[in-house]
Amino acid sequence: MSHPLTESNHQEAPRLQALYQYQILDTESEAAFDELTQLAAQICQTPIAIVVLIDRERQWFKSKVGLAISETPRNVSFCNHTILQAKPLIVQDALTDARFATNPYVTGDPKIRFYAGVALTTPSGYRIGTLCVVDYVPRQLDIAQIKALQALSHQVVSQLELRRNLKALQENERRLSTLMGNLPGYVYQVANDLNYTPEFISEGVFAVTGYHQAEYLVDRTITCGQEIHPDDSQPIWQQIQQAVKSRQPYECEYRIITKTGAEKWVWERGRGVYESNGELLRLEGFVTDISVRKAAKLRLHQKAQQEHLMRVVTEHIRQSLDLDEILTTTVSEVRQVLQADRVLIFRLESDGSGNVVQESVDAHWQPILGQNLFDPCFQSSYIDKYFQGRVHATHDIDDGSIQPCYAEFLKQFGVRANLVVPIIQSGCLWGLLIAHQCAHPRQWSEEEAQLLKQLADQVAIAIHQSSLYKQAQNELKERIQAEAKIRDQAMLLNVATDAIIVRDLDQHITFWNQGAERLYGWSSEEMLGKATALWCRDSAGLQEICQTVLARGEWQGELTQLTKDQKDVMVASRWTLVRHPNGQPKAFLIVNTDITQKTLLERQFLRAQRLETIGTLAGGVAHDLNNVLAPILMSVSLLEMQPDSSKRQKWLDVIDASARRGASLVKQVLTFARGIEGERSQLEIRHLTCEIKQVIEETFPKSINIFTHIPNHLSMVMGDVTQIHQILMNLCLNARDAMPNGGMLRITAENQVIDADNINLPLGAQPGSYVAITVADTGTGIAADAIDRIFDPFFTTKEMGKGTGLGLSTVMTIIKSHNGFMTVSSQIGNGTEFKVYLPALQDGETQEPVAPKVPYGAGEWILLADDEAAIREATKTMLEAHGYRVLTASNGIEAIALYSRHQDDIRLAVVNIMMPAMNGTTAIRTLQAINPYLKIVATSGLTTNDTLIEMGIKVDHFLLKPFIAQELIISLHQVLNS
Amino acid sequence: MSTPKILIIDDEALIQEVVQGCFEDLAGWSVITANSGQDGLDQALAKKPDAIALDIIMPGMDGITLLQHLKANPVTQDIPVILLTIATGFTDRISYAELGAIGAISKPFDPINLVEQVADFLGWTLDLKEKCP
Repeated sequence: MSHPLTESNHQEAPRLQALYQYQILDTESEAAFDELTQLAAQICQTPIAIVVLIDRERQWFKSKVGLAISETPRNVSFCNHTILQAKPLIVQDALTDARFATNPYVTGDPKIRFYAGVALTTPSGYRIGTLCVVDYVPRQLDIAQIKALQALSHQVVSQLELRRNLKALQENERRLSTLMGNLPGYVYQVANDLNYTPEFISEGVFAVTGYHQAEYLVDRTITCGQEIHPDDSQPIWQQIQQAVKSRQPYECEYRIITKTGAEKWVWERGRGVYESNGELLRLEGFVTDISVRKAAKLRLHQKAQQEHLMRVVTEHIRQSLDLDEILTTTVSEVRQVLQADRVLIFRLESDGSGNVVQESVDAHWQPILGQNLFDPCFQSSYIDKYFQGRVHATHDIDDGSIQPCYAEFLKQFGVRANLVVPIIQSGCLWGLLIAHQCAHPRQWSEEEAQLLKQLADQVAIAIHQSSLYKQAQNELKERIQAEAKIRDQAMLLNVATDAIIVRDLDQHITFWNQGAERLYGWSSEEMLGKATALWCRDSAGLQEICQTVLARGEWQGELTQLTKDQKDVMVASRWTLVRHPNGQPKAFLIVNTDITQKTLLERQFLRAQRLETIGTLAGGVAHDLNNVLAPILMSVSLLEMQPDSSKRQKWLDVIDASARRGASLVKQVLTFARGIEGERSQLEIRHLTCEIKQVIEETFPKSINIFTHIPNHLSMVMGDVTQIHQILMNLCLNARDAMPNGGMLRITAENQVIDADNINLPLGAQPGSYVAITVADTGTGIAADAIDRIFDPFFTTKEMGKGTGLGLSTVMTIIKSHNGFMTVSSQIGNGTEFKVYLPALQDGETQEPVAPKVPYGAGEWILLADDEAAIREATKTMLEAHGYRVLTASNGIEAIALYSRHQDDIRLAVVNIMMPAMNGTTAIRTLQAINPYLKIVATSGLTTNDTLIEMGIKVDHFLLKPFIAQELIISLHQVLNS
Repeated sequence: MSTPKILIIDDEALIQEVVQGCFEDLAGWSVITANSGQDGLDQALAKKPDAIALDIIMPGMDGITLLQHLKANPVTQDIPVILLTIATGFTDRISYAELGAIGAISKPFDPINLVEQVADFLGWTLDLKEKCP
């Protein structure tokens, strides 16, 4: 027989779904169903009664009476026919019914002949099975039996429904229990009283409050109100009452105190439960522990605040270069964020004290801004620790964790707790950023310490930026000034009549101003970049000047040069060595002043004055000429008259002698008149006075006696012979004129040393060795009122036509040009004495007057190691004054450290042998190990060079202390140039 | 009259030599010489010359001073003195007569003139021994 699926086939799937909802298939037998089956069998008087549930391929018996099997295939099922119809299916005799006559359960065991079934119809209309009765014999059911069977089928369905609902309820309960057990919190039902007296509370309460469920519900030792933080209790009550009144749910966060006394944050959501009459029954809701979240949130908030602070500070640093403003902002913001009583910036000084340079302080506490504080505990060891970045947090100064002296120090400012971080700027401990808590101790958190540390780093950046800015500002200012100066100077250079030339060391011209163009005639375009010195007549002399400038840094003198038109030009030339900032020679700056006209005028003037001198000599010359001519003329006459040869020779001799004398006289006068000037040479005053004496003896009145005395040991002077002549001649002429009636003219000379404390010297006289030449007369003397004016040009006491008044003025000019000076003393009636002082050449100078006394360095770096600060400083100053640059070390270790840093620069080391820390011998060995070619000069007061050699130390030079500056300079020069 | 004796006082040796030559060779006078003022005064006192030819400008005692000494001394006050002078204008300023000299002759001098002037001043008869050819 085919599967009897009918027109309701399409309903099979929902039917099966409805069946499965009951979760009844293959379950154990249940009394409730069995009672109904037995009732059906009794009512219908059948041996068999079954509750059948039709599955997809089978029919399963939930409950059965009179049958052993629990299921049969669906395709041979009577019940499958029953569920196709709403009314009961009654088969009175299966053998006579075509549908079932061949059914194996009819033809075979249990040999069914009668069947009556009623469908089990679910409330939603699905027929999921049957309640049926079966008999082995054909029979009938009456109406009442059928109705009873139908009623019973309804009971089966009810029972199924009940069973299913119970199952669902149990599942819900299980789920709720599982849920509550796994909730991160607890649910509650409490009375709406101030204690929130608990009616129900889930087990999760233990995890939150630390109290067991039983303590709330059984022991009643705790209520939900007691655990709330006292500070939060009132606001929470008000919030809940408000919500209840408006029948709204409530949600709140508050703190509780757990059984262990800890503070926790909880979140609660709940609502009122009301009677139908609107009366409030209880509160129910859920509470969960949000401490972790709250802490995270707090941290987040703090972090945000700190980030804000960092942003404010860094922004300030970026926007402002005003350090004060930055520091002010920093301390006030930090104090706000840390909620500290005082935040300050402490600038450390080298002596361990420091200044409070910025402060933000709560109004309750004494400000300490601007105070210089000295912390007796703050020793160098602390500095080192801070320098290494240590952050020092004191939670309570009274807990014994810090030194008593430090605690005392802090107490004077009311400090109870502090947090100190270093401000390290450019590798130095610049100062400290400090937070104070004054009223009570304080646990500083790691975050706070870190924040302060980061801020200190920002402050350091600000300080650095600010100092860079200041430096840049200064440099800018200096540069602007320098540029302005250069502009001004450049203008001046071109305005200057002087020729200004710059030549580099290779003699290339790098600057040629308009003055040079005017003086020489070559334009700057013609000259720039050329390695030429067209204007120099004496290239060997030029070389010599260059060498001098390189050695001494400068040179000045007078030169005769050439213009483009091949004309001579006299210049006063001043040379200066221009150095690189590192001290290396860079160029020659040459300033040449045209003194051609000046020189010519000066020469003309001097010559004119000399001619005047000769004029005043004329009387004497006339006398002399007569004395010369008279014998000649007379001899000639006598020769004419005396042909006798015996006497002729005599007159010829007289003529000869007289003529010679005349020639000599003329020569002397001419020498004086035509004198060649401008050439300085070493002079012996003795020779000069002899010549002068000769002239004046010839030409002065015989009434004037001439006395000269020149000692043998008289020093030489450097001078222009013609000009010195002129001085003496002028003075002698004045002496002669002062003695119209004759007298004594005295010319003497002596060596004289002028001390600085000699108060009788005229202004401008320099101390030193001089040759003093005295010209004294016994004449009329000079009146006191005239004596101050005698050196004025054109001042004269002589009659008209006897003198121009230029004599002494000329004398003064010449003496000054020889770096000398003159004194005069006079008494009316007793005569006048002039004393001319000319600088004496020293014995050494007489040999090589141009050689510099002490050689100069050329900016070489010298490493000077000496433990004696005074010697070190004095030597440094002296070396620097002689053109060296000096690095100093006070012991061997410093010397090595300096050398290793400046290896490339240091040319020579001056090392004292006896030194602490690392002595000189070790230092020298180490230096030589670093650079075997380093030049070394050893100095010592105790060791000798032999000792050093015995120790196996070889140095370039050894100086025994005490040595004079010159010795060191000379030995440095020699060693450096060896 | 015996040969007149004349003292020449002059510091200039060459002048002294030529003047002596003139006096001796041309006039045939006897000559004694002195080369300074003091020497001249000594010679005048010692040798009592008939006349003195005196140079004015000399170192030490000059001619004017010497003349004053001569005039002040009875031994020499009557010896006629002739001044030999180079200083032009001297004769204009100070009259040789005021000084007690009988005459003054300016250098340079022509030998004949010199001798003739001296003889003229002295009032001596001059017999020139050597004359120009």
